[in-house]
Amino acid sequence: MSRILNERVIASAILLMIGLGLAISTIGLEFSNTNPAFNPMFFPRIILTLWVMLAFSNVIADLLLNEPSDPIRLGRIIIISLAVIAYALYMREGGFFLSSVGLSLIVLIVSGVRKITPLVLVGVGLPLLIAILFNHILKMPLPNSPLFWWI
Amino acid sequence: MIDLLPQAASLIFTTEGLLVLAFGTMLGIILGALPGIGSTVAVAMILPFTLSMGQTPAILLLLAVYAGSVYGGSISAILINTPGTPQSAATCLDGYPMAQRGDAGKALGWATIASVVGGLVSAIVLIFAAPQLAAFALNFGPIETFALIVLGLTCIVSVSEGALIKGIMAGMIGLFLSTIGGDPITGEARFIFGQFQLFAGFNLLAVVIGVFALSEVLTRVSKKIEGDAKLVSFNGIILPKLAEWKGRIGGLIKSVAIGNGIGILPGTGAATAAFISYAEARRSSPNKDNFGKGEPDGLIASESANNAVTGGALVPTMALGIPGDAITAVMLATLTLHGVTPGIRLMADNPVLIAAIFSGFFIINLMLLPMGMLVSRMAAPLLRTREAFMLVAITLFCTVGVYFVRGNPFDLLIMALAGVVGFGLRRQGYPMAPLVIGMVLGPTLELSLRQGLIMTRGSFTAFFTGYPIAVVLIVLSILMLCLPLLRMAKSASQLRRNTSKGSK
Repeated sequence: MSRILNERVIASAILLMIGLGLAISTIGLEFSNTNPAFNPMFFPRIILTLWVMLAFSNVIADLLLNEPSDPIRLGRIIIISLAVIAYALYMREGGFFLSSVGLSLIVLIVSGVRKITPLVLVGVGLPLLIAILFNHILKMPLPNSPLFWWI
Repeated sequence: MIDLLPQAASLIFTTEGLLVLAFGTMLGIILGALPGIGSTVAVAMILPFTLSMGQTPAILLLLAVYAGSVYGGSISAILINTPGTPQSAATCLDGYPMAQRGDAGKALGWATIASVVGGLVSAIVLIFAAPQLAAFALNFGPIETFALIVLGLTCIVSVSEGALIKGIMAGMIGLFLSTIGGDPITGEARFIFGQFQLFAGFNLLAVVIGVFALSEVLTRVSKKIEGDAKLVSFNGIILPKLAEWKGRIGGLIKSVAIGNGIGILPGTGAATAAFISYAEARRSSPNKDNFGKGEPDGLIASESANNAVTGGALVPTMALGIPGDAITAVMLATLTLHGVTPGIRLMADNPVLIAAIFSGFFIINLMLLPMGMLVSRMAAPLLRTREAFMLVAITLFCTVGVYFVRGNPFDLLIMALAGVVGFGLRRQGYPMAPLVIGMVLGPTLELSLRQGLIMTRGSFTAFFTGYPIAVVLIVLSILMLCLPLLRMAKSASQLRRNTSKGSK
């Protein structure tokens, strides 16, 4: 079973499901004008039909080929992906500097940087430099936090 | 175009203009030299700096970074056998062996001159070809525009070499993403699922930066980090003497022609041009036996061709609004941010600006020579920069760039999600360039199709009667789609022949 359901097949199947779901969501939305040019769903339906057909052929191709995917450091990827999403969500409240320091330190530590000097210089120094550059030199304000409003 | 040059010069030859050209070329060379950054990410990283600038200097800065980064890729290809950009992969073949035998300065000298010549000729091609193409396209109505965009979309086939179905699938995802938001004709909301912020559609740059830059960061984090690159000894560029060019000029001209021709074709790209040119040089050079062992002819072929692509690739991008690859798609999106909408009306509406941009591009390529000599020594130690530091810099600069486009934190979330999804798709073999091309061309494709249907009262078959230009373009599109299938059939029959020979 695991030989058949490899990572590629699962990814293609997910894309097929998304395409099908989106295509189904357009069904039932009817518009009075007979000219397709006035139907907002006319173009998306064409694209989604092709999407579903291609995704289906991808599932078949991946099932037949059964190519193994490259090994992955899943833990690292999950940490960085969550960190990047949290960074995007937190920036409005936390401001650019604070959230960037958090993300930079996570990227550095996950990438194997352990020495304190590069952690401080790159993890704190680079966000500080960028914040000063844009806030004070280029006069293009980045989101600020109440803690570091002066940067 | 020529009569506008004095006005264009007044826009370029200002203190700001010249500083931007010099600084941009320098920065482009450095970013291009750093392995893993590449031209697309380099342009994305520089984007936030352009947002506080005027229109002309901002666009010149982007072009300078673009041209500089393509050349910069040769520095790491020659000094550490790792191409800074994919375009420079062919440069490793002869550049690194030359550097290993102690001629790194000379190898970079050949690469620099070849790049400058390739870039300059491509700028001239851009100056003369783009206005002609744009003038011809001015006659286009919605139906011809639809056919033109279909032709532009067929380049997805070329950028998906090796993963045709997945490439087309990625293109469909891009086309679908372009439909999210308000309908262009009726104004009704589509696929926003209650998220009102999506009514204006996805911010193209947030998606582009997510799927290219951020997914690259994730891809690199997911892999085992290699040891420090071994840098060969290098004490500056040594330009080849005039006598050394004897017997090599023909090869240079041929490579420049290949680069320009391939550049104009949507979807083929600089890496392909460099390899085709290298293969042709290897076939026709009198020194063919030395190829792969540090032969200057090989270096000239790859570097002149990849730089010749830059101007060629800008021809359909600027004149028709059709990006041929990921980097021109990013350029197109960033130009739009600066109030320049590449496409059929561009030359007619902004003649002086376009003259300034094109002549600025010529000057940028001239600047590659002094800047290359100056920067290569500075860039060499930077090649030892730890990858993790570069990943942090890429992430932060790209975030700033996306934030400044609309000042909307929602775009950052889109970028983050696009990065994660892009990483997942890339891992499964889905190329990202078709997704971006689909997203860029999607709105025009839909609008022209529906406007055409209004003109023909809902009859699609009428598109093929009474519109000869559209018919020609559609036939060309079909040919472009069939070409890879024919190539696949040819290689399959070749394989069969070889197998049957082997079994006899």
